[in-house]
Amino acid sequence: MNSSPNRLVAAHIWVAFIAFAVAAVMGAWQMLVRSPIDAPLETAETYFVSVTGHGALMAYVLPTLFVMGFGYYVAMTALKQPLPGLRWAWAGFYIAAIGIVMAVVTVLSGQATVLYTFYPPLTGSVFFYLGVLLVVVGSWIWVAVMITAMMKWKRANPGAAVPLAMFATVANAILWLWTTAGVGAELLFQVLPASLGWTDSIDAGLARTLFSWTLHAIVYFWLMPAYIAFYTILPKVAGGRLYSDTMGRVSFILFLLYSLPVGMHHLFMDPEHGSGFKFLQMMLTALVTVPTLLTIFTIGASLEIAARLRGGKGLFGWVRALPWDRPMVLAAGFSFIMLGFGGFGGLINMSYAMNSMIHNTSWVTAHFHLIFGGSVVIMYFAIAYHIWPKLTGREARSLTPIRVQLWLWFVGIVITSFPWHILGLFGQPRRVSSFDFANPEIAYWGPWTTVSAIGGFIMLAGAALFVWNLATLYRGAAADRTMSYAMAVHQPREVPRVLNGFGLWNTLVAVLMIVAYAWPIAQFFFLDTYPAPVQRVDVGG
Amino acid sequence: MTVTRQHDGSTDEPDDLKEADLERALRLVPRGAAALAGLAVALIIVGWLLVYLLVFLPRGPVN
Amino acid sequence: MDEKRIVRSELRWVFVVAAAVTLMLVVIVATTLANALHPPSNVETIDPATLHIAGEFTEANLGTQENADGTVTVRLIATQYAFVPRCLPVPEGRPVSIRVTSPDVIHGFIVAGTNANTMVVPGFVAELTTEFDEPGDHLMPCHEYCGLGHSNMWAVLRVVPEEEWIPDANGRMTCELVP
Repeated sequence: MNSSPNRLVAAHIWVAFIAFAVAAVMGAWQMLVRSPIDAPLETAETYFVSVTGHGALMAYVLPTLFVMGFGYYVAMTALKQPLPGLRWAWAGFYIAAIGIVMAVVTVLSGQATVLYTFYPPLTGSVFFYLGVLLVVVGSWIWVAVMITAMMKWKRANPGAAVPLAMFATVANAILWLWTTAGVGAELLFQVLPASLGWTDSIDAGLARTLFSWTLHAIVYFWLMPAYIAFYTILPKVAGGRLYSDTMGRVSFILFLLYSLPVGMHHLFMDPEHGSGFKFLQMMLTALVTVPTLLTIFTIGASLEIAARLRGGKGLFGWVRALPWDRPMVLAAGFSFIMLGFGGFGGLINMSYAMNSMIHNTSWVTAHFHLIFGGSVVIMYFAIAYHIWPKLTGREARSLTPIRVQLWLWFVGIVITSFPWHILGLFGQPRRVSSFDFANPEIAYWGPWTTVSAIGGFIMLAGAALFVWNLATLYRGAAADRTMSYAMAVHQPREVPRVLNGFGLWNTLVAVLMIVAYAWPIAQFFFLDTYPAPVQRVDVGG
Repeated sequence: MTVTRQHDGSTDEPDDLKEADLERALRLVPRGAAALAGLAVALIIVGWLLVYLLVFLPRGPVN
Repeated sequence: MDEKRIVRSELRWVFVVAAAVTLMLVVIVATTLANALHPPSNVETIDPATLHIAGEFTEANLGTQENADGTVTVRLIATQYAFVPRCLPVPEGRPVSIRVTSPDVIHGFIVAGTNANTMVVPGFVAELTTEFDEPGDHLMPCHEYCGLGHSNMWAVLRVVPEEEWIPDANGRMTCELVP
């Protein structure tokens, strides 16, 4: 890490993974609290402080800092130009870091036990919300740097196709700007004024609607680095080529379009919206499956190229010929399996009236832990393992601890989340600290909850080994610092303008968001609504 | 097929695949990928149908 | 290999994907129309500050009420940290409408093992209609974080067989929880 740009990348990724490690301890402990086994320090207060911390660190800090760090790295290595605005990037990092410390201290002191989803009219200390807002502000600087870097490259390379890794990174930056608008408005206009004592009531329905604007798109923001790795790193590591660069561009554009106007599928069970808009957003949600389904085919074909080149035979037998000993390939394999199961759960969540069967049960927890904790975070691991030699200049001394770590994480998440699906169908609510397992009605939940908790500790072992690997393993032979990305079978020299920028797509996002959200938000200003009294959870409230 | 060196800089270090090998591999691709992805999607849709028809609907109407 | 063949294979896959998604949507739309299914979506506002003083959700009105047409309406309040009332009798196999609101913060519930599920948002009345076919007690936990006492917020929905369903002269029915 001899140069400042590399330090910038490493600093972001380290903060992301330190937050991850702390949150992993919290998560495993929470599972113990929910199980029939006694946990140390078990009270309702410690549990919900922990849930708030786990959620905020895993949902806001880990992905945001990782996406930023990886984005800076892609901008430098895919565009092969110095990062414009390096000082700004550092400023963004320190702003986010201050925000993280502010939010974490506030949460741990019990002044903001409102969960990471805020849930007004519950209102905590202003420092929690300000901390989260600072992380967002830091990430907005990243957005500006990403867009500037792409524009600068386009001016220097007129007419040339923006490398897919950077095209996707900028798609994610623009997606993120749109995504943060919802929660940003909720914080600025509703939650912050309440936490400062300027207002004494909050329209809870409006707050939930604004949060839903953010709540689904944020998941795709988390997911994009995994997809960038699938399209632009994995095919090369596996020894093949990307089957279609065009399909990559199309998929990333579809993510930008369809991950935003669908957030109301989180509000299917809410009384403040009519069934019309819920139905509309259900239909739009069905469309967001398309880019993921395109991806599994395109990446499958890219891996098949690699496997056939290695002598792979048969309709399915080629899978065995892939170099599974390479961490990136192993992680991607696990990622796709978890994406399959997580996607299955997600399809059930989005199916309109069927949401009644599982809304706010452990089923939902299972779904997003499989998708985010599973398929996405395992790719964060793989990306970190892949670029660490290039950042540190040293190869890993051995790949065995890396493979063990990936296995631990995969097995852990499967053992954690499969029982959660079953418990969800039984009706076990999420976000509850303890169950009366002596009650015969729910006694049979006990064993499933215990199995799930065991999975949580396997994940914790995987998390610990990951941090250990990153900190100690890269002391081997001198490494080639060059980062190269996968070539496509048909490497594009030029691509149509619409596949090389985001002007048209931004306009379309705006249109879709107006169609999907204009009335659901506006209705609160036409309806005779009654705001709910602010309820402070911090001392002095 | 020819592989061109790119303006875009992303292939400054082209991989060392031989074009003839790639051509041969591409005679089979994407049959395996289509089979695998198709099977995965089919299983997911069947699973979804089973849950919708055999678990959700029998639990009663939602009106 | 020429690029057109790659594009053609991708388009064939898009067709498969479209067929799969369409199949799902057709099943959803058909069953939704056939059974008039919809999630709780009545968009009915209420003042959380005064709901205990006057109107539908005053204490005397809470609980189970059999209507003239044989259907049943259950009215309850979700408040930190209890459902009022805590025991809700309903008849087996008849349409039951549950109407619920909150005077304080966001709550929600699921009746375990059934499709009865809703959020309870202060300022709005949530209403859902379903049927319960399995006699006996069903736990009904609050399923949305509402404060530190959230985990202790449970009610019981008691599904009563038709022969034991004997409401009083006003059509009211109550039940008691055995501690």
